[in-house]
Amino acid sequence: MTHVSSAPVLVPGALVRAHSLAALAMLLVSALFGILVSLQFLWPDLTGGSLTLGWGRLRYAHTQGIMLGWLGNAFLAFLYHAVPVLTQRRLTSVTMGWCLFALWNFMAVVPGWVLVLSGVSQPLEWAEFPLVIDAFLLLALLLAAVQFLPGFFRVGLDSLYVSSWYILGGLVFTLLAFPMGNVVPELVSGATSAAFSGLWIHDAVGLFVTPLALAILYYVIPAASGRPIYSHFLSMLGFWGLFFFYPLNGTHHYVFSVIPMAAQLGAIAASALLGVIVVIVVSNLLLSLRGSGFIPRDPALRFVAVSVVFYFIVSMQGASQAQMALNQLVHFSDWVVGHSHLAMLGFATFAAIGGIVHAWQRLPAARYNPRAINAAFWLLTVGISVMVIDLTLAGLVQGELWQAATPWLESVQASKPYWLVRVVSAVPITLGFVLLGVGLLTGEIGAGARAVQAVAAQPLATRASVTQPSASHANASGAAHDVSNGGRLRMAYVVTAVAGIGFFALSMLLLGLWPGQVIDAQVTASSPPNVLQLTAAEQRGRQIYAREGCAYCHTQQVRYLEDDIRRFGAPTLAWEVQFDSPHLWGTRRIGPDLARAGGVRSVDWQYAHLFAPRSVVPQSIMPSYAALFDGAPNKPTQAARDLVAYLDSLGRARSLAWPEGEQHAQSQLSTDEHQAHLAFSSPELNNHPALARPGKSVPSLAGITAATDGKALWRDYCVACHGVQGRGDGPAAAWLSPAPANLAEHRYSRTYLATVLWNGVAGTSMPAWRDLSAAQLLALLDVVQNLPAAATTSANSDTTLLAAGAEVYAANCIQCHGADGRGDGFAAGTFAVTPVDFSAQQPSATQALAVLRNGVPGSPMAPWTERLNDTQQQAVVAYVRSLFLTTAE
Amino acid sequence: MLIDLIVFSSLLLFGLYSFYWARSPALRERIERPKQVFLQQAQQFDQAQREQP
Repeated sequence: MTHVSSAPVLVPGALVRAHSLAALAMLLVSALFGILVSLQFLWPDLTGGSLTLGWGRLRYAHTQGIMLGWLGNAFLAFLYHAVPVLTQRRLTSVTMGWCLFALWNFMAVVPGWVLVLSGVSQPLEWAEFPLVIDAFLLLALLLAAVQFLPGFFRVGLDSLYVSSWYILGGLVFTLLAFPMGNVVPELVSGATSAAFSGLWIHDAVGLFVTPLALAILYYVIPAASGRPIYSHFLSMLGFWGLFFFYPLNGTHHYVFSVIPMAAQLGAIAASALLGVIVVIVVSNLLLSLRGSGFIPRDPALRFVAVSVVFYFIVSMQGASQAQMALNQLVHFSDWVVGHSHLAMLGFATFAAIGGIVHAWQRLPAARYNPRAINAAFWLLTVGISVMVIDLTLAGLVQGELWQAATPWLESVQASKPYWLVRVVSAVPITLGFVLLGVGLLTGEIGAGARAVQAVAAQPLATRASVTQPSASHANASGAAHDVSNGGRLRMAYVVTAVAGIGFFALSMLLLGLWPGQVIDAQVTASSPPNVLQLTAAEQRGRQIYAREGCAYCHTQQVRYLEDDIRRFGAPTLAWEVQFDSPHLWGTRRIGPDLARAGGVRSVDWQYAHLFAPRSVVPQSIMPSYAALFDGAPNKPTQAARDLVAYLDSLGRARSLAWPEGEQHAQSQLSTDEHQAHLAFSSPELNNHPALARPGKSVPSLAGITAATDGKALWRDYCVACHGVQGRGDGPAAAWLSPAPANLAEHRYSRTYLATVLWNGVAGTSMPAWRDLSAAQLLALLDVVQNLPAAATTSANSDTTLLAAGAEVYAANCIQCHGADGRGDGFAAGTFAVTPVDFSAQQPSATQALAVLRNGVPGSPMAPWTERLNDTQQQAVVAYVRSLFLTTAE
Repeated sequence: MLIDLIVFSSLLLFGLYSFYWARSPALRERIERPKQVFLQQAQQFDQAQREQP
């Protein structure tokens, strides 16, 4: 490395240009991925069921592309301009710079995209590229450290400007945090894996993106305005505050989880204190912008100024949404998606554009079109503001609906207008990105440099009102003087390094290692013996679930919140997920939580749902996974079988553990009041509320007024299987076994219908509809009882025929259906599908004869044509129809 | 306890830093110096660009 005693320093312009253009190209590709993702919220079949262009894989490619492809390249472009200026030295090696360029783009980001879209990924947020790509990225980060850091170590601490501090901190901490976030969650399991993953979710933003974005803000504001920043003291206070508090925030992504409450509260406190620090940072930056105008004229300064505003808003948002009161409302909702877009697309992207434009202006032979860049500024500002406001409102609506115990699909329906606005907001954003490219690739050659030179030619007195530094202070080559301080300088660097790395180590200790120890102790104390692990097929299914990004729509984490427990069952315990590596807890709920989804739906229903989601759930926005089938839901490939096997295993360990496991857990944990509530003694809580349960009590419907939206409920929840007329001929009926009931050919007692709606029908695809209110259940009950054909059937009163039928019934049917036809014969308990209770439901004569002749596929009811002649069939049909208790109607 | 550690350790660090800054004019000058140095470096860079053929 060469020490340059005075300007001009040698900025490798070709590398600035290459990384800037790579950043722009990857920004456009990443934005395209994001647009395809957002369109699928409204048109789930947009990509034709392709797994490669499926929602989950595109989502992986989108976030990694924005963070590494766009921001990574943009930061590198800026560093190639800024570091030689800050250190007054050449970088380590231009050749190494090209190696870094090739490594970052052609060994990491592009292959990462190809692998993720091909289904090779890891299901960790902000760490979706597979481990092989992580190795290249780590190597690239090492190269970046070698390329950019040595110059700083030759500069005395006294001369180290705040941007240099942020560059040093960002590169060093990312080197430490990257393997922690990308590798450690694969090595540990369950809640500990989530704890480390949570650390990285925040460190990716807090230790990689934020420091380098702030380095740009602190660099561009004085360099473009010609005035020094307001206070270097405040900037350093902010620097150390951010690096102390950011790493301590991670666990706030898992508030109300089984991760030790002390760690959660620590992260929440750190989040609030981080907000205080951000107020200091932003105040200093805004004061530094004084005199630049409300909307600065220089395009780079303009982007940077808005970035400061976005930074303030996103930080206040982050500090408040980590607090429990707000967190329980907005977590898992689009509020958080809006927050992350404000961070990455607002704050960081505007800073990155500011940095690129500032550096680009100073490339002597570069084209530059300020009009296009200014147009890009307005389009991006409007587009991102609309998107973030829209998603924030969507999150509030979703959170309110989830807390109001409305059916899940109502939150999906209510979100659609907001998702449409988000798609529309992508238009100005995309146009803005395109115009940014136009601004950098068109215009006159050297126009940017001339604009800068025009400003530089102005007398300093007209550009800044500050006292000019003394000769000794302003000596740009003062590094040599500082180096002469020898031991003192080295000691200062040692102290600073120890303090900085100590902050990171502290976060690892407090929010990773220590919670891991506590979680391990919890698992040891409370886990039932011999917890059933996943079979080979289920394990393969888990890999498919992870590969397709299912965890980005469905959490597997029931929180310690009343709303979660009522909707999804008991909160997730540490021992339940002890073998999950890496964890699949998720941080977003577009669909419902699946932690206890096993057994809730039949396998046939799962196949139909995966193949054609809207055939069974008309309002669903889940993408089709028809690629996992050979053309029909009843022709699943091994992959579909494995995936459904995995889905059917979710919550199984907890369900099987009751009651012995729960008693064991309670006895072990009862001495710890914080952990006593981890055990639950109710079988209902230990299963999903919608799990079909035979023979359980139902809530009284007496005194309840039926809801007015019965027909809409029927359309949304019943038609897919039972058909519009209730004839059991809905779009999904042919794929379900046993087939959905032909409701039009039956009369039902109200108690029976209420029982079915509340408890489901075990052994069939009929789930329990407990997420509907009693008034809604009553409305559905009325709809079923008023189906056209159902009301017209009546029993035969021929006593001779009935006597003959009773004889046949006693000889052939009583074993299953019981003496009084209540479905309680001595053999009934052995069947998965409970025999029909004729006292509560009366089939039409046609229907009953059809069942006698054909049986009920998928149930123990076999065809009786070989054992009963026509007369006997007619007689027993008349008899079973006479068993219906009309008073029960 | 964890919260106490975070809150009080951060208050202590910031308190010490601020106290030292308030008590020492030399420190104040030294802390503010980099912003002046950097500004001159940035302006020198632009100036040198202007002077390049």
